[in-house]
Amino acid sequence: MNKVFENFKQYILPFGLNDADFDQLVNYCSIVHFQKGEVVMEAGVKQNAIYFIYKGIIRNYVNKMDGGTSIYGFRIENMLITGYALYNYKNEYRAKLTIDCLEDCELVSIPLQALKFMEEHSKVSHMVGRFLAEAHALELVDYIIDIDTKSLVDRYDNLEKLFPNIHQRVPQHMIASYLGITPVHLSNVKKSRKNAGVQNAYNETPK
Amino acid sequence: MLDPFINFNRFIKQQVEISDAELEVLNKSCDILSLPKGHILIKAGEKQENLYFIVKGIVRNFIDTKEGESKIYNFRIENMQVTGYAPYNYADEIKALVSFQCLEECLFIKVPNLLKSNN
Repeated sequence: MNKVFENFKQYILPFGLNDADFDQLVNYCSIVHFQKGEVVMEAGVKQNAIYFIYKGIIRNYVNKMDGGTSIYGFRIENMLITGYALYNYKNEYRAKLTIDCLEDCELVSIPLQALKFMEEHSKVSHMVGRFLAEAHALELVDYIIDIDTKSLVDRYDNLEKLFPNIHQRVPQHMIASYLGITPVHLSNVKKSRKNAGVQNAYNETPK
Repeated sequence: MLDPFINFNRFIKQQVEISDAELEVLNKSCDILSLPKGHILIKAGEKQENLYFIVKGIVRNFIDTKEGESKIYNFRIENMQVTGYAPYNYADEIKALVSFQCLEECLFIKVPNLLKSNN
């Protein structure tokens, strides 16, 4: 099997699909390429697929009312891109966030129809959907709660745990946007973190 | 008083196909819980053994911030569920992520998690 689909299989089988289920699912899927800067999904637009990242990194963001952008998260290899569209059946599967590529990306496109087919034909595939939805809900709740409960340094350090090597792959102004601070503030955090030997260097509220 | 399970069962039927017999099994493993205004129903960071359906009343969904204040994310009223996101938090021992407090005298249906894992 193609290496791209092989990785996708490794990712999806632990959710409870068997080989036969997967073979059916993969028949619907295709490999797609996006260049750095290309938009994969646009907030408010109907979607007909979700994506698995074989190679590359993307950001989740929204356009703010003041005209800027606000980054909610990143996705790297072996993660899914949904834009929360597939859970938005009450509003025609429209994406909640905009997603664009921060590097050239190689993705598996998984049509929503394939997921529907799987739900009708496989006893366990609805579990896959449930686990994904729950994991994605928790991720967003954690992001929101962490802003109020964790120090900036803790959130900065946590980012590296969530997305290894992110600082080598993503421009600093995007890290700042994710943390909800200005790039200048971020640079100060990094300096004081270095000086204070990391712990409790910064406890102030962002913005 | 009206049977508190009427709206609960209607809520479930709206989401999934379920037989009356199955509903009866579910109802039997649930309890009715009445709590006074101000009572903390769920505390963030604590393991949860139940989720709740609000028959009557209103709760606030909040966390304690690092500045020592409380921040409200949301409210829940009649015919909504209160979970604290705990049932999805199996990666961390089903601990609640947010706290819930009754803002009025509230009537809940307490739904045990154990039933969920039997499915």
